[in-house]
Amino acid sequence: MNTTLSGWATPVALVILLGIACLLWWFTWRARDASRGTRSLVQRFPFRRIRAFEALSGFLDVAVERGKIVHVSLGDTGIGGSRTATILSGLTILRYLAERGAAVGSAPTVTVADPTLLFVAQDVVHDAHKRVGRAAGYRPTDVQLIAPNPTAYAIGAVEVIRDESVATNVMTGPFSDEYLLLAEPGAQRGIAQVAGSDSLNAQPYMFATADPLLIGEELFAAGAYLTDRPEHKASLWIQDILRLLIVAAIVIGILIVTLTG
Amino acid sequence: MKADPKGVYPLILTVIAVSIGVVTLLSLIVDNNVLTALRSVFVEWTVIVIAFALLLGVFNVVRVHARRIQGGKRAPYSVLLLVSFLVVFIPGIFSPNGVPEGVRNWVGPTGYVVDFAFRYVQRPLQASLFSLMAFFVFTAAWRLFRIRGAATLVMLVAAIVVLIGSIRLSVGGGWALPAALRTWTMNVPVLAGSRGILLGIALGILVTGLRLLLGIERPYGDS
Repeated sequence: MNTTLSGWATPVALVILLGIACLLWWFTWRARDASRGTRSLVQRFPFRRIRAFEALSGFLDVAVERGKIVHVSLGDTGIGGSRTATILSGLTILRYLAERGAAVGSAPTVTVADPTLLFVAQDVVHDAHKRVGRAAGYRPTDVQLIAPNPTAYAIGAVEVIRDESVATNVMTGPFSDEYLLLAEPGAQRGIAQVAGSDSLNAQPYMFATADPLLIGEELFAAGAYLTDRPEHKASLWIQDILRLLIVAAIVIGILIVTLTG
Repeated sequence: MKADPKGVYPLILTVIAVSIGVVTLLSLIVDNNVLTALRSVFVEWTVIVIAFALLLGVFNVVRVHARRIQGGKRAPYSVLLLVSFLVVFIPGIFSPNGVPEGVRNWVGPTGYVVDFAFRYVQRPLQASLFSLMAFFVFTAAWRLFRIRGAATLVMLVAAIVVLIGSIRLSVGGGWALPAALRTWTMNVPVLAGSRGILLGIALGILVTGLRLLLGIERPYGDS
């Protein structure tokens, strides 16, 4: 199967990729430069509020106060496919929850649907324990492989969510229609649920079962909101710039088509 | 001068990951036989790694459920899971060529045992569970319409318009308006919203991918 681009598309694709790469480097470098970078850029281009990221911390605190745990679902596929970027965003949220949870001895319980993701998630949780100086508190079984099939995964993960000790359910990553099987029992129990996915099919179900939720690209903003990493902040600025360019191109296109008939 | 292993190790990982990523990306953009051959090699390596990951994943499942059985927490389910696993796994790993004639059709990944488990246990169960989705959609929608504000109202109106427009009734040609309303709803506001969300997601994926390809972010061995 020939998947390569042909004709004018090849140089255009390379130029666009190189352009975005240069922008990414430049913004990351600017954001790293604490004296004239981070502060001035953040002040000039502040991020809007995203309720889901603000709520995460509170949900974790409430769970810890009640002596309960947070369950994190990382989606129904694994690393290596076309949805790897979505999974990585989910892992950023897991890293945040695991670090905060490990610090108070209440690491989240994580369920995954694919063995490739199992070890990455275990590494994230283990690393979080090491960062807060509680490496001994890490248990490999806190990250559980359920089943490499969306329906079987949803049903298996529901058993974990139905556990009375789960106070918050965070579902971020690639999901399909089976998301509803996973989220509805938690919604019926009335536990706090946060959800985000790149799947259009799952979005309406998320709207019905989770509050707050991450709509569309908000999931990819996790690093910029939950960590202090300059590369994540740079990514978000670049996404906004590219979005503005696309909007401008659409408007110009509409005007050209309208005016030229 | 002795190199700092803590600094060298992540650097080596980054160089390997970035090189493989860039070669794979270029092989998808530029038509070059060497790049395509290299991509095929990388894909083969990935398949091997995934196979080992699957095996280790099985150990994780066994470990988690063995712990549950030990703790007495939902132990019967865990016992059932482990027994089912062994019943399917053990006949599945044998090659039909290496067993006596009498049991040849029973073993292997396409043998009677594995085939029976998938055809008569897993598939019907999966279909039954998936059929529950209709009830779940109903209860989720009911809850949503009770608790949310303006957004729910918009969703309710859109749902009613699409539902009524989708019903094929012959009422003397009077059904053309609901059908047209449905078509307009799906083609204009719904499509516009979907495309907006998809564009945002595509940009997020693009920038995340580039961040990894350039080695700016290193989830592998990055502390």
